[in-house]
Amino acid sequence: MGLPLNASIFLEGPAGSGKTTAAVARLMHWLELGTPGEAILLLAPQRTLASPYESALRSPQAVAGGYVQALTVGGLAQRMIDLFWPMIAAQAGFADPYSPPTFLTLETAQYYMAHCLRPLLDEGLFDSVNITRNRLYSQLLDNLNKTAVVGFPLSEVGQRLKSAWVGEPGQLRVYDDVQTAVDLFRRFCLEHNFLDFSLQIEIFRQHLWPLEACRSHLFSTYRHLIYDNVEEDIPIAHDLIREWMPQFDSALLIYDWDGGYRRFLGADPESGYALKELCDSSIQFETPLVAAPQVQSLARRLSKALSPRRAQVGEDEQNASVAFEAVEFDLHLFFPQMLDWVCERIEQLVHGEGYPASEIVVLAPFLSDALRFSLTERLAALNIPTRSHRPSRALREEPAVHCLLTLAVLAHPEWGILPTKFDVAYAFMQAFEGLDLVRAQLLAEIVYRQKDGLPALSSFEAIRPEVQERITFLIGERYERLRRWLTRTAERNDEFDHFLSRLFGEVLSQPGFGFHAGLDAGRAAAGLIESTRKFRWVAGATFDSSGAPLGKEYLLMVQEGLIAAQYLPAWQTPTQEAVLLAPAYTFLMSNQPVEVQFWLDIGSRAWSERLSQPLTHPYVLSRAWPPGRLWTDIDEQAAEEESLYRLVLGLLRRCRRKIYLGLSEYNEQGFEQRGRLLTVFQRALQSAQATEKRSG
Amino acid sequence: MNAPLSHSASTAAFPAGFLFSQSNLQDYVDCRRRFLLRYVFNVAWPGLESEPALESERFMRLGERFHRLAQQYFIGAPPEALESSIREDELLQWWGQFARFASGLRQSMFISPELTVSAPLEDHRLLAKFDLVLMNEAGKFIIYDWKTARRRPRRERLIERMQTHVYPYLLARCGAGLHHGEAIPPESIELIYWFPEFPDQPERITYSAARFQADHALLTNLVREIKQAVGNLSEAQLADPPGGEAFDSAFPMTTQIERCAYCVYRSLCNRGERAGDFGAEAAESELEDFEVHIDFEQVAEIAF
Repeated sequence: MGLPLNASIFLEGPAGSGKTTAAVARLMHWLELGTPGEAILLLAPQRTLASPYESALRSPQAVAGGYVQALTVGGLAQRMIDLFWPMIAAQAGFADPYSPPTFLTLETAQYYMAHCLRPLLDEGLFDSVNITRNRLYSQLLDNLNKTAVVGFPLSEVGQRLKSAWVGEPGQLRVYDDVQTAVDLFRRFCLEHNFLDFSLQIEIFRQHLWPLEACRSHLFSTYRHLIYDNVEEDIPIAHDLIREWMPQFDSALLIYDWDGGYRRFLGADPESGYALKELCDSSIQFETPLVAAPQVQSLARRLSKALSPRRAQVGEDEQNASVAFEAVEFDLHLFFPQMLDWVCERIEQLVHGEGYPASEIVVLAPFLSDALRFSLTERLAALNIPTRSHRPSRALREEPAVHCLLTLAVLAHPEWGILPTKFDVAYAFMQAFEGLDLVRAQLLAEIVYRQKDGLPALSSFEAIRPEVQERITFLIGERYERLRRWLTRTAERNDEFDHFLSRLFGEVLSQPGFGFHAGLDAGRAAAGLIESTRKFRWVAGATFDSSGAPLGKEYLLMVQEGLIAAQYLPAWQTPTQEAVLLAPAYTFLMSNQPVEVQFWLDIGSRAWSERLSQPLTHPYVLSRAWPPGRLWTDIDEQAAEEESLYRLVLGLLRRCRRKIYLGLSEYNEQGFEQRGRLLTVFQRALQSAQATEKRSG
Repeated sequence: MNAPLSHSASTAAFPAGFLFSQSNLQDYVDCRRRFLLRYVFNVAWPGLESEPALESERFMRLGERFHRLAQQYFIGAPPEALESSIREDELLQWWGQFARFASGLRQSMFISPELTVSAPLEDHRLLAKFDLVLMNEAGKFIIYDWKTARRRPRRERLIERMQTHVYPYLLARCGAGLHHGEAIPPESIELIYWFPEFPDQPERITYSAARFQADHALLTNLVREIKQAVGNLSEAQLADPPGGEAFDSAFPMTTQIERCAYCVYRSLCNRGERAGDFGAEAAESELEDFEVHIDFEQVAEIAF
C-alpha cells in the first residue's frame, strides 16, 4: 500500500499468504486517490480468479467512477478482433474480409471439426484410434489451442508429437492424421471467417498486437495493470505483458509459488516467473495466513515425502506428530463403506460441531455422475445440502429438453427421424400437467404411428370412448391442442430456435401444460433454445445454401453427443449454505479456502496420473520441451511427481483446519488400488513415527 | 451481470454486489412482477418477445452492429474500412447518417466511447454504460445514446424513462475521473438521444443541480423500496411458485396488460399466448431498451 503509485511490483508467495487481499487493497487505494477505474486492466488467467477484485468493486465502499475491466487474454483478444476486424481481416487471410467474423464456441468448433472430418473419417482417418468422436474432436482442438498459446506454427504439431513418441510405431501415423485434421480445420475457418479460440489468439498476436491503431487504443485506454495468478496463464500472455509492461504507469503482478494447475491447458509458470525481472521491485509474502500450524506442518511433511530436494523440515523434527493432528483417516474394504464414513464425519462436523456446510469440501481427482449422486443422496438423507461445480445432468439429458426435441421431431416428419414409443410417452408425460407414465404410455401407444417410415400423431377423437375416459378428457383436450399446434406451426417453416420458443411459450408453459410454473423446465428450455440459436447464427448460412434442415442437423449432433452436451452455467445453480463436491483441480482454481477438506479414495492412481490423450500431449506441446526430445517413462514419472506435489501443497494451503482421507481397498469399479498419493502419506507417517522415536 | 439472489431461511435479500442499472430499474417501474421474476428468482423463461421473430431479431442485430460501428469509428478505425464491411441496406443508410453527424464530434477535447461507470447507492451500486461521452469546446459534457428504433419516441416518453434519470446523474457523480479530478457540475451535462432513422431530430435533455437532487431522491427511494419489498418476502412466499398470487401485493403485475404481449413471462403470469406484433406502435416503447451486451468472457472461457 505504501509503495509509490507508479511502481511496478512483483508480489510472490505461497497460496493463502494474503497476496490477493493486499492487491485488492492496493486497487481500492488507487481508486480512492483518483485513478480512473477504466484505466485499470485487471488481468487473470480465468474469470473465477478475478472474483475477489470484482466483489470489492461491486461493494458500496468502492468510490464512484469508471468501471474496472476484468479480462483474460482470450477475452482481450476477442474484443480487439471484434473492434479492429475491418483493418486486419484481409491480411490475416480470411476469404471474405468484408463480412464480419464469427467467433466459435467450443460447441460450434466441435461441430465444424466434425463437419470437416466426417468424409475423411469414413475413408479411414484415425481408424486405429479407439476413442469417442467427441473426445477425438476435443483433442484436435486442444492441439490447435496449444500451438496458439505456446506460439509455434500449426504446421509443426504432428512432427513435434512424432518426435517425442517412443511407443508403437503405428502411433506415428496417428500423428500424421492429427496434422491433416488441424490443417483442414484451419483452412475451413479461414474460408468462412470462423475464429475458434486458437485462431483468435493467433490473429491477435500476429496481426492486432503489431497494428498501430490497436496498440494505441490499448496503451491509451489502460494505464495500470493488476495481473493475478501469473503462474496459471499461457506463455503467449506472458509474452504480451513482457512487451506491454513499459507502457504502464504502474503494475502489480502476483505469482503463487507451486501453482501451475492449468498446465494441461497450456499454463506456463516458468515464463510467468520470468516477468519478475521487468518489475522495479519484488515482495515476498511467506507467512501462511490460512492454514493452521498443524496443517502447515503436515504440508511440510508431505512435501518432504513428495520431493525431498525441496523439503523444508525444521522445527517439526522436535514434534513430528503435530502434523498428523491435521489429518484423520479410516480404512475400508469397499468404496461405498468409505462414502458412508465420509458422510458420517460430515454430519458430525455440521450437526455436532456446528461447522457451516459451506466450509466443507469433498474432493476427488474426478467426480463421476455416479459418485456425485451417491454423495448427494447420502448427505441429503442426513439433511445436509450439497452443491457441485456443475449440475448432475447435461443439457440434453434434461427431461424438458428431451420433451421439446421429441415434439420437434413429431412436428417435422419430413426429417425422417423416428422416436421410440417410450420417447413419445416420456415427452407426453413432461408436456401435460398431471399425466402419469402409465397413461402417457397408453396414449403414445394409440396415437403415435409410423406411416411410410415417417412419424405421425393421430387424433384423440379416434380413440375408443372407454380408453378416452381412462386417459381422461382433460388430457385429451390438451393433447389435441398440442397436436393441432404442432401441425399448424410446422407449416410456418420457422427457424428451429423460434419454433422451440413458440412451442414453449404458446403451449408447454401455458396453464394445464407441464412447463407452466416449472422453473427447472424453463431453465433447461432456455439453455436449449440459446444453444440452437447460437448454432443457427454460426451454421445457418451453410444450411441456407444447401437447403438441408438445420433442426434435423442439430438433432443428429445432439444424438452424437456433440451439441447440448454442456452443462447449464454454474451461476444458475442456487448459491446456498452447502457442502461443495468438486474435482480437486476445480476446487484449486476457485481459490476459496475452507475449514475442512475430505479427499476421497486416496489410493486411486488418478490423483497423480494424467488423463489418457492419444492425440495430444500437454508437456511435449509446451515451450519448455525441446522439439525432437523423446518423452520417456522417466519423464512421465517426473511429471506425475511434480503435479502431485503441486496438487497436495495447493490443497493444504487452502485448508484451515483438517483433512479427512477416504481410503478403500477396492475402488468405485471394484479394482484393488495403491496409488502414489497413498504411498506418500504412508511414507510421511513412517518418517514422523521414526522422528518421534528418535527424539524420545 | 448480476447473480441470482440468495434465499436465507426466512427472508430474501439482495446479494452483496447486486448492481442496479437503468434497465433493471425500468423493469421495476414497468412491472414489479417482471423485476421479481428476472432479478429475485432469476427465472429463465424463453418465450418470444415479439413477432415476426426473425424480423425482430434481425432488427436487434442491426442495432448491435450499429453500436459496434459507432464504437469502432470513435476509437479511430478508418470510416471507409468500416463502410466496406456493411452489407445491409438499412445499416448502410444509418451509417451514412451517422458518419455525417459524427465527423464533427471526433475532434472533441475528450471523447470516450462505451464508457461504463458506477457509483454507490444505498448499500449497492448503480451502473451505466454510455454509448459515448465527450467534452465539447464549450466545456460541456455530452452523453450520446444511439437509439435505433424504427419510430421516434415522443419527448415525454423519453423523459420519463429511467435512463434519462440514471445517465446524467451518474455522470455527475462519476465524472471527476474524466475532468482532471474535479466533479462535473450538473449544469455542464447534457444527454442526447440520437436516432439514425431521424438524424435531424435528436432529443436533447439538459441537466441541472435541481434535477440532480431530484434524481438522487428518486433513485435512492426506488432502491430502498425494492430492497424493502424483497426483504419483506416471507418464507411462505419464497416457497410459492414465482408466478403465484402470493406476490400480488409487493410485486404486482402491471395493470397495462398490453405490455405483457412483449414480455417473455406472459405464460407464467397467465397473460396470453402469442407475442406482440413487432411492427406495432406499442412495440417501440416495450422493446426500445434492449441492452447491447456481448459477454466475451463466456466465449473465451470455454477455450479448451
